[in-house]
Amino acid sequence: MIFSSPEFIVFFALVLLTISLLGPRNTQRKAFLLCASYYFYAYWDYRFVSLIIASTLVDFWVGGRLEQTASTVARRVLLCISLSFNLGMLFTFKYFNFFIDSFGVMIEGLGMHTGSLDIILPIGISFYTFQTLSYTIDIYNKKLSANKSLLNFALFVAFFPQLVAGPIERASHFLPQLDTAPKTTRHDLLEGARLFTYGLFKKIFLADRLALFVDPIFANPGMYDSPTTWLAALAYSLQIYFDFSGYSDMAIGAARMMGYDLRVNFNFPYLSRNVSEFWRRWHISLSTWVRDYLYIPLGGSRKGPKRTAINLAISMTLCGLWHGAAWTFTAWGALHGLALIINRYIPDAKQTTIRSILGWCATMLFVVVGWVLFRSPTFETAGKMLEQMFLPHDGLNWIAPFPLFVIAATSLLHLVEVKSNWMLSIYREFKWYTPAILFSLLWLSTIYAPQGFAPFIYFQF
Amino acid sequence: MRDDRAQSLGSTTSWVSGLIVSILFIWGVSYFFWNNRPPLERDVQLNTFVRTPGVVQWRSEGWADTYYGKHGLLLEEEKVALSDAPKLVLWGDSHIEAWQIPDEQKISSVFNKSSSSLKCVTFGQSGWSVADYILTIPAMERVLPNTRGHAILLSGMQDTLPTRGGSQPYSATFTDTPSLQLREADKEGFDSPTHLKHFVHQWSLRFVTDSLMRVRNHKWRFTLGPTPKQAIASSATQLPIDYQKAWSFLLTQLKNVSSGELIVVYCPLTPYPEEGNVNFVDSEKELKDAFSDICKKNNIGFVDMSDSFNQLYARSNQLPRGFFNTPQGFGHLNARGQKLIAQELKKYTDSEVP
Repeated sequence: MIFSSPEFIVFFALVLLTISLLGPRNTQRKAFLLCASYYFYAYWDYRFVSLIIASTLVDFWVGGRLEQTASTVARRVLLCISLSFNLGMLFTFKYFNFFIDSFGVMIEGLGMHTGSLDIILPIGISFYTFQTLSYTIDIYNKKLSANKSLLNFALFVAFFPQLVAGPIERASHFLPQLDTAPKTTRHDLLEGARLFTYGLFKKIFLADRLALFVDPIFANPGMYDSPTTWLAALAYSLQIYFDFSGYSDMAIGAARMMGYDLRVNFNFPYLSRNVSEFWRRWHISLSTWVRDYLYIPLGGSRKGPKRTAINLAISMTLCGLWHGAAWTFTAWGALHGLALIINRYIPDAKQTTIRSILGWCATMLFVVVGWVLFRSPTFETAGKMLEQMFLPHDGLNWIAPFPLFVIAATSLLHLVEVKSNWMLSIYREFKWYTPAILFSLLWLSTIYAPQGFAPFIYFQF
Repeated sequence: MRDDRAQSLGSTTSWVSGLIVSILFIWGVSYFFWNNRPPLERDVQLNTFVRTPGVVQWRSEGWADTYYGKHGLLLEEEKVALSDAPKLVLWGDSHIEAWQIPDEQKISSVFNKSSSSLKCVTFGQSGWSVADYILTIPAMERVLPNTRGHAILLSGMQDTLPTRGGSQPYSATFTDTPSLQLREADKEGFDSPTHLKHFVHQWSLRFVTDSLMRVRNHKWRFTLGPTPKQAIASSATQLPIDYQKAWSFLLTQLKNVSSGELIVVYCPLTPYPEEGNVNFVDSEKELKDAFSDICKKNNIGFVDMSDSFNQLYARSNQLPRGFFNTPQGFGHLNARGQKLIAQELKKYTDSEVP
């Protein structure tokens, strides 16, 4: 069930009620949360609960054995088991058909028969496999001790607020919170409800309504004139931000209401003045995962500029591929990798206002162009969209006021944020007018919600 | 200390006052930015349900206010409609209601600006079909003096075909089960608008009723997924429609209720964007052509808007459907579409209607 559905509100209310009745009985509380999390996942498709359970059991066992094994070879074998199982699962369900479609001609040229599988992509698989991998890799690197409780580990993997679309939690951050029953205070409830409501508003009122404008234009690239195409690109940039950060807010808020702390996943990414800063602010849990488990093990920036560039290229290309089984995602990741490489060669200089503004403009232009590639189902679509944007073209004109309003309002609020951190204070603190804001946002979300089901963008990853 | 602060900030007073402020806020927002319409009431003379006098404020598709007078007629048409001026009644569903565009841009206004003799009066409701028009024409001719003829606006061919499912509330049904017939709407089953409905309209409180409707209409599911795909009724299991027979029956019924000029105005769903190009091919062309032949055999005029709509795009890159807040090429007819219909109808009536 998605967070913005009435079913989730009922489900979550029952979960909150039950855990409050369970009080300090931590084992029962965790067992209940685990069952609730499996129900939450099975609501999508009960068949794939077995995959989460399998991943949990394999990595719990691997973690335990790694802790007990001193032999380097044996530890490597154990790590390979975890990597093979999780990445194998990911490859089978997410990438098998993609590779067959992409390389089928070549494979058949070698005399082998190919055939695609009728596979459904299990929701959230990209997220929970990365989460469990971080556990086993941290134990292998001796940064973490194996958790002795299968219940704790299972809940870490399946915890429903962040199960299907992150934030990708680290065992070192989340597992210790399960050792004792959290004393959920009124402050936690209010903070959690506040964050959840902000997220709900971002998703339903902003992201879903922007999609009503964006989708027809991307479905018919080349038909609209240049201003309309630009507006669609900018609108999509905001749509994906509100959709994903909205989900993260709801996940963090829901967890907070239960007394658990999840990591911040977004930090005003559209204030970034360079691509490197963008990746420190956008999908923070993924970018730090890629940094810690891919970029740094490859050597990071420790082996000279040429090797650093290669490491960045590999890391970001795979990051792009993580987002989806399509060459457009891979190209998007590679493009960001290239931008990060170029960014390293820009000499450091005193940050003046002009430099900041120019840097911000260049970064935003790059990010928006990247989002066009990200959103487009094919390179042809992306090409047509970019052609319409950068070479003046006639076509259907559709300058819709809602996307314009959202772009203007978001820009203004971000400018206010730069000047006074006011937005951050609204976001992070409970003020006397917060109830009025929360209720107003709920009304707007209820009245103006588009009809029909609108899944979160990142669910498809 | 942190919790004490939360205690004072999260006090009952701040929550209650916050709720009140939010209600005032959403009331203000919805006053300007949400739909509002007067309720339907039974018109004794027309023996059907019509919009009570008032303003329909429409914001979700297009942006306009539509003013209603007596008998569910547009306020600006009421005087002409009830006068002795020769008139043509244009019937239709939501395409004739045209809440998306201002009254002065609707078909009848554009038509009447260029016509000094014959005047156009529109009448229709969302969800109505040809069956409703036929059953209401006799009463309308009693209410509107000097009615010279009737034109029926079709958006697609569906409204001319017998339905096999249940009827829409407030609307009549053209059915072929057990035999071809026009079935009246179950008017006795509908309540007269309550004071509450008028109150909601007058005070722009639709945000409350619409919120409650959303919750009421939500299809709850708590069972585990995946959800089974809804079975699509195989067309092979449904009895085929005898189009010629059905249309002959329908048009005979139409001719029986009026001795004036009868015209059908056909509006295709094309042109619209599809897969990066504009689709000019009307998927219902065959049906439309067959219906047009039967109309001609029955001496009923047929105005086909297909070429007119296609030429609009060809010369101006604009489409007859879609508004600034909806996808271009889809949904209801915009001001351009309405104007083209008015022009074609004027052309037809100038040459064919005495």
